[in-house]
Amino acid sequence: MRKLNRFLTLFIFAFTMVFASTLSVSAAPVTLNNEGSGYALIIDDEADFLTDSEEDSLKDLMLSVSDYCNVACVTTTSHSKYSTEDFAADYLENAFGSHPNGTIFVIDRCLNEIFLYSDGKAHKTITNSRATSITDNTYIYATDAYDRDYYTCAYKTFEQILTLMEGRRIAEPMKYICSALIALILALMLNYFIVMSLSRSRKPNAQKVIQGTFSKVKVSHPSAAFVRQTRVYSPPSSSSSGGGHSGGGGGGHSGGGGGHRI
Amino acid sequence: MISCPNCGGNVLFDIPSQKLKCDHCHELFEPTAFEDKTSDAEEEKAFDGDYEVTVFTCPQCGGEILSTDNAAAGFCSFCGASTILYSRISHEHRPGYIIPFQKTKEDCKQAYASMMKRAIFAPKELKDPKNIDSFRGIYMPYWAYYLTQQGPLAIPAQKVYRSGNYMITDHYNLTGELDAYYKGLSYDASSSFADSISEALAPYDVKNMKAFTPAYLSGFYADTSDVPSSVYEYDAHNTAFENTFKQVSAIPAYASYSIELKKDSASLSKVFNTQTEAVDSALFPVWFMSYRHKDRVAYATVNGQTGKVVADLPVDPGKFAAGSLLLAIPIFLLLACFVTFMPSSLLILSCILAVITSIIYTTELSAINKRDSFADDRGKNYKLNPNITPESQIPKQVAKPKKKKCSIFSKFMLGYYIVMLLVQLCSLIGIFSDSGVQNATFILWILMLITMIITIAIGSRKIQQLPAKQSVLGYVLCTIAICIGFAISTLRPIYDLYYYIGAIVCLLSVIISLADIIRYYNVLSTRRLPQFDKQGGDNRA
Repeated sequence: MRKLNRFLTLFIFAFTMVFASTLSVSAAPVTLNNEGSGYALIIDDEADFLTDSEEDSLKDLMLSVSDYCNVACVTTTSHSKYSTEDFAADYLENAFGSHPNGTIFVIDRCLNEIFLYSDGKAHKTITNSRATSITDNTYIYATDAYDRDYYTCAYKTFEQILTLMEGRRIAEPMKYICSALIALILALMLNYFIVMSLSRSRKPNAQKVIQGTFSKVKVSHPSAAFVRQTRVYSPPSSSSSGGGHSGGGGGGHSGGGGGHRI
Repeated sequence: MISCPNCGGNVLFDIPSQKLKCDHCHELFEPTAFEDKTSDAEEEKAFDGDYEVTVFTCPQCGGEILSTDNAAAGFCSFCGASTILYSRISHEHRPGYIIPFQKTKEDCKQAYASMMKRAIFAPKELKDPKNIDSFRGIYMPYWAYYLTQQGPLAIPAQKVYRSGNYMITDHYNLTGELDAYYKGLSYDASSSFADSISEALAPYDVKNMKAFTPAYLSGFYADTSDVPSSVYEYDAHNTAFENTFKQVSAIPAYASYSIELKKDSASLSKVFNTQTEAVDSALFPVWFMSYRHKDRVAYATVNGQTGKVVADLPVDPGKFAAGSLLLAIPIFLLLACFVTFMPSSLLILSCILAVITSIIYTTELSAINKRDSFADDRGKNYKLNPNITPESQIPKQVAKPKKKKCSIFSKFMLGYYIVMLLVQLCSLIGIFSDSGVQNATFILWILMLITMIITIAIGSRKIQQLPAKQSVLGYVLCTIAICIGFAISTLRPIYDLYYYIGAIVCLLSVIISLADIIRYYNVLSTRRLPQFDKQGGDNRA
């Protein structure tokens, strides 16, 4: 009996060990409140892309961002949302309430995209165009080119968010280079059309030409004589508009952001 | 030279008084007082219908101008060469009428100067007072057609309406008695005077025409006529036809009917029974200046009766570049403040700009081809191909019904194309649902490639037809850039660098193309140096 008990205990222990090793381990989200500002920060590394030390380092940086708004960093490998933007918007709302003043950075390996989404007052600082610029600057770290260095990607993203929150500017070199080239092309085209419209002489219309001549057109006894009638079978098209439906829509989210494929 | 009967001084036509004025004793004379008295140096030798003039010939281009004055002429108005023109005494046929100059040289210079104020990119030589002072008063030969349209009208017309499941068309015959005439429809009779200039300088008010007397030429020059009146007869008929058609259609008794008239060459004369009663030769006043740059020449002309200015205005590339850089600054600030392009959108935008540039490129090439082969100049075309009939020379008016059909089709296609493009663009920038973005991008690329293929097909044909070889570097670069853009967009690489490289290659090719386009514009706003062979034509003018 003792032997049986030992065997059962050993079996249960072994089974538990084996079963436990097959389960995925997802760390619980790190949540912290910024006492000074009243905002919160969340690091939800569901995909386990970050080590503990990386999470700590990120937490310190995000704490600085939470002086200005709620802030979240989420990693995921599977979700049911149609887009990363939808996922980010829903997460932000679930975490901080409806239309919160907050920003969320999502590393989404389900749709292979990173997305920076903001709402409330934070969205006025991190506008869609700035969010696009930030993700354009940092997406590269999450690609194979940098061995999928998600920590650096997230850290650089929050660094640039903090830069904006502190009222400083972020580097957008390609934006300015391309804007300069497009501006130059538009200016050249515009000037070309100005030159075309101002320089090329136009012919006077026939009426003006006739005005300068001696001319007369007179028709006496005008009348119209009926000749014949033709008819073509052409039933009117039956385009009934049908019922249709109103309503729908709703939902959606007030914030916005920008992302990048990875 | 006409001498003053009082003091023997030189008598010139005075524009403000519209009389001849002695530059010595300031006595005024009626021009008709010097009828048949073109030279007092010798006895009258006027043949029947002729008058004696000095013919000045340019040794470089062969251009000829006439004058009653025998003072040496120091430059050629046609090719802009500063050279002493050969002169000889000749007897030229008397024109029937003349519109004397009514705008003085000062008026002409003022009108030209006010036009040049708007031409901000024009070369400084065109604004040079010394150059402006070289405006020369030249009487240009014109044919003035007297056309009549008389007889019974029989115009087919119809009324279309619906009755139940049927479209009913009632056919009518519009009848009446037409009595119409046009006297003084004018077309230039000199091959050296481009149709594009003479048409733009019009209209002249022929109601102010006077019977010709050589005294009107005193102080001015005249161009010689070398194009027969038959060359422009069809145009005159067509103008008369179109005006009569418009007026007849507006008659209340006919207004409710839709006229079914074929405006082809056969029915044109028949419908309104257009007849040429007479063709008079006339001289119309033009202030003329030429600006020569390398192997091209630009003309500035001012209508001597109305003061209307028509000028070839080339662009100074330096000024244009500086102006564009200045304009680019506010555009750049606007873009930098309000727009951030995704790399993929930037690539598409760059390629759209490349396609637009290629279309402009092709349009310019077509226009150069037309200009340099004189396809838009009936007079010059006649000189080059005297055996071609006026109807077949330039199809612009003859093939009007066909062209109209074609233009409706093209407009429809263009409209459809623009709508499709806008829809795709809207999808692309997210106005519609995101699901369509990928498809929209693909369709947009297909549209761009189709446009590019059509543009290349038209452009390469035009390039082959060009009389002088033109560089097509920008054209080739744009095509390559669009292909690169398409490849990048299809492969959809993750890294932005590819998109940026594609976009920058595209944008640089567009800049090179635009530089080419400006060069083409300058070719288009100047003309080939003329080479005249003043022989043949109709010497009645």
